[in-house]
Amino acid sequence: MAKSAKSIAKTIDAAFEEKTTLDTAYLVDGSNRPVTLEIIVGAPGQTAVTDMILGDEPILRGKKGSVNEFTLDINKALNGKKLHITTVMIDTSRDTNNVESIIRLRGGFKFIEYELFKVVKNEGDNAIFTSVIEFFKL
Amino acid sequence: MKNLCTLLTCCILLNTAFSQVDDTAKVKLDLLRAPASPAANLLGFATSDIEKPTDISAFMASLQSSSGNNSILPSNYAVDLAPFWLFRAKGLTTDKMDSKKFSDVFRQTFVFSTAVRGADSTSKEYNPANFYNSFGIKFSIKRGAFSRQTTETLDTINLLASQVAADVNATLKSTLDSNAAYQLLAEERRNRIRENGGNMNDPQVLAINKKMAALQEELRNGIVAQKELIHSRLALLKTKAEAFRIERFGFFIDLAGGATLEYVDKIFSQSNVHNAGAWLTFGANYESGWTLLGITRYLFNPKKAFADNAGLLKTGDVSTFDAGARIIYNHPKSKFALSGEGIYRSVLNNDIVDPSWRLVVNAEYDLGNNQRLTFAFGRHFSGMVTRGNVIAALNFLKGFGNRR
Repeated sequence: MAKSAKSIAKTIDAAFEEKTTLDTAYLVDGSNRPVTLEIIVGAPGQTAVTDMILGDEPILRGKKGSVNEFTLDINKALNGKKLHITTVMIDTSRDTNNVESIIRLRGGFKFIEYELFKVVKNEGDNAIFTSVIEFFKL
Repeated sequence: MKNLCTLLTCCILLNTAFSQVDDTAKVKLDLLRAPASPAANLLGFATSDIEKPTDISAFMASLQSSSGNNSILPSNYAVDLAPFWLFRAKGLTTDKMDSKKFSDVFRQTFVFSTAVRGADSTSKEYNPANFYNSFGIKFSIKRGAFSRQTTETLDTINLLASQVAADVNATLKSTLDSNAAYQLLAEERRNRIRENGGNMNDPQVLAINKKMAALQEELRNGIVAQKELIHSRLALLKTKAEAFRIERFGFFIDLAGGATLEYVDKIFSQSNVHNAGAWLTFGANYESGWTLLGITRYLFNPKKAFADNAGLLKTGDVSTFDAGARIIYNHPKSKFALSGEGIYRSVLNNDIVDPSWRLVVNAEYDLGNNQRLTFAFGRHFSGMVTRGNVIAALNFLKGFGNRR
């Protein structure tokens, strides 16, 4: 059945809805396979700084820009732990007011990607993106 | 009215005195500059006529507008495309924009330019029966580093952002760990995932995720609003980010090149090279206001008119190689600017035309309120269509519009 115009408009709105928080669970297994994390920030010309806590341990402090893919830990060691990520985005680009962050997780049950996004109102404004990811084994 | 005046702001020449008897060939006072858009330069487009789309939608809109809704070939169109920026280079944040690595510099500065020129009966240089298409590229081999002020502002921004990120992350973690409602939702999510066999797309799991994200956002906003230190750091961050501008100083090398094809009678298979050029620009600019510039330039102009040693006008293929230097002093806080340039031109494939040189000194004074006085004096190339080779010009430029 064809989608109504209202339904399509709602889908489009949802796709562009600002999202500055993420709370989810990531499925892991009991293997020794590493789980990796990658963060890509934008838009071009913006400034970003990230802080990360895994369990109770700070694992990343004041990381500028994107975070290259790195190993968090092996699957079985991550079960039950929570990953807290805070990224402060600053609008330093004069071409756009968009700020976005893509979080990619690999190595667990499946590859998954989350996107956080905001359009700041004025030049020089900032946005704070926070994410909590709970690693969970069935 | 003010806006209208601003839009109509233009500079007019009130007093010009050239010693040359014949000025049919334009005397440019700023030859030592590689074109920003090689393809547009080779086809004689003004800088303001070049489209510079920053995303795919803007590019498509520009193409659609110039081609009559994709129904005809554009007749007068010039565009600069920076692929790395056009395709929304995710990950290119300010920390990577000062990179010295050639691969980073190349992809961040690479520009492909193209231009087309169709029937234009008013132009002497282009045959209205033919169609012209030019292609060019430009990129930096080395670029200047961030200025001291840019670096200092960016360091402050990064430091403040780092402090805020660490503070918010740690405070939010402890707040969530001790929030009963949040922990209850987390337990509910775990139970639901166990029950559904790990289906993360289960509507109930998604609904819990949404509730937890909303609660997290509420608590985070509370932390930002209540913690004075975070609040004041964010306010300072905004002030610094508003003032942030990227300025580059230091040694740079830019390479540009392009060629124009002429389609005779607009037939694709009947094409020949109309002109071609390559520019290698290098030099350094300093925060003190000094700029030193060197350039080597190769230009190929088929069927070009030139005067031989006897002063007779001839036509033939002309390949010229120029090498020159320019020095500019323009202190940011000073109204006075002084520059001098010298160029040596050698005609590579023609024994009739002797090598020539050009030396020009240019002084400029900003009188304020959109008024400028310029003076140029020097020697122009010999063997041009014009008679004589002295350049002497006193210009008064007046712009209409808002006072600045």
